[in-house]
Amino acid sequence: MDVDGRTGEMSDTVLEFSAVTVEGGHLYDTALWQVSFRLAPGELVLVYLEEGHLHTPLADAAQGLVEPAHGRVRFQGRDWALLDEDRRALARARIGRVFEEPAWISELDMDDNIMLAQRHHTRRTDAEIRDEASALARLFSLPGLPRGRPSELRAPDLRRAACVRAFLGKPELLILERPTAGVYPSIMPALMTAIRSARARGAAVLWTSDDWALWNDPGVKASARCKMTGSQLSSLAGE
Amino acid sequence: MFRSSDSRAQARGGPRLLAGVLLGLPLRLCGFVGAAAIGQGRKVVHLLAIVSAVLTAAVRPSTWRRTILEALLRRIVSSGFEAIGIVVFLAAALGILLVVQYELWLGQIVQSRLLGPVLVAVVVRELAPLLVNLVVIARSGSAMAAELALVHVSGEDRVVEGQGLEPLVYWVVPRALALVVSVVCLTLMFIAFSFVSVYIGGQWIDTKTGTFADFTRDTLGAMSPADAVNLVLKSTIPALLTGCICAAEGLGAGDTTAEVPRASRVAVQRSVVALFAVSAFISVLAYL
Repeated sequence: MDVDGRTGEMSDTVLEFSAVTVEGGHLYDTALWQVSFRLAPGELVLVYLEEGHLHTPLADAAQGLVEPAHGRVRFQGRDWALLDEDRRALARARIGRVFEEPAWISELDMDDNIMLAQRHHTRRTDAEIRDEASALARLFSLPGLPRGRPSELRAPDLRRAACVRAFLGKPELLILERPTAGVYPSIMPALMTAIRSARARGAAVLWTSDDWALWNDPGVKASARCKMTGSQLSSLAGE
Repeated sequence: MFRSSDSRAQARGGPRLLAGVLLGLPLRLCGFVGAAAIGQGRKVVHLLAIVSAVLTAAVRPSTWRRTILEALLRRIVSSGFEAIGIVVFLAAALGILLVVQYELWLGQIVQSRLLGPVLVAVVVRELAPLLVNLVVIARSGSAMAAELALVHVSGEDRVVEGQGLEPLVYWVVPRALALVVSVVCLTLMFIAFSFVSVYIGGQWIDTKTGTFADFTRDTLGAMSPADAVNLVLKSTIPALLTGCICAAEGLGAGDTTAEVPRASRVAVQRSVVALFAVSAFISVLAYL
């Protein structure tokens, strides 16, 4: 293991949970108990969430936003706990996420919200980022890159915009927290197209859903499907 | 038998109890004062840690990406540019007040040459930085604390962190530095407008101000290097502290909206205390 916590044998793993325990707090409906799984490049894990337990620490732990009480979370072989703040920020820049809650910065317009991470972390021109965002917006059935404040948009459009933000900049890990909530099944063709494209270039996908029909959908070609039962991740089965 | 034993015990215990109370009260008082002092000391250390983190981040070139620069400009507009009206009004009103009082108390017995030193002593050294800082605390500090408390309650701080932006760099650095820039600019503007107001007011009530050139020369000539240092310190340090206090109170608020007004109230109170304490300390250092 080097100074960053990177291990040589883990370089082919995008995300790894090793016996991770995260205490539940006011932010979550449930805790995590001894959760272990690995996500290799191009893999998709679909996690079914029980009703009433939609806010799990899974995504926050995957991004290193919450520190496990026990166990380790590694992103691209690096243990979040061993990274300094600068390296954590750089690592998070390579992750696209659809947040469980409507997660928008109220002082920014929607287009600035969507482009924020790319404008902050990259030297790409604004026009270049805007073009990519506009193309993604059209893919997700939006008429173009949304403008105006987040409070001015309808909930389904905010969900689609959240998908645009998550896929923008070709992230290496996608964390999709109930991306279809309120827009299922109309969003599915666009979402599956975007996910297929991301997986083809080597991105890994962690997708949570509380929709039983979606979890059983054979059209979703998941590498593994598992279920959060209480605070434990179970029924992990590869396809 | 028992009664008599109890009575003796009570007789012995009475003075002991009294001594215990007399000794215990000062001890308890000392404990209370000590705990309060330790609590205040911890708050000061926490504040200094935030200030040092903000200054460290501010001098790192990697901090100043386009998103942070834009946030800084937005904050300068809201804290500085939009406060110009109220600052100009206060400066004009203060100028009139000063020239009226000058005429009333000194105008009849001294020469016009004293007006410059009086203005420098009253406006430049004390009132301008103090009043501008108070305006900025009232306008922007309370709003900043409330806004950041809402950011925390709504989870926007986690969204920013989840996208790889450091919360300190995105939320605190632009706001704190914008307050510094705003207070410095507004203070200079306040001084200029109050001088103009004094001159125009003086002409109006027939005070011996001399020509505008004489008035300007006398006033500027009354300034010393210590005044410049004093002005810079009183414009920058309290503003930086205000920014850090309001950011800390806002982002450190609880998780319900009920915490927002409390955070704003506490932030304003602590900012005002810091402003007066720092201003008094700088005055003592600069002029005694």
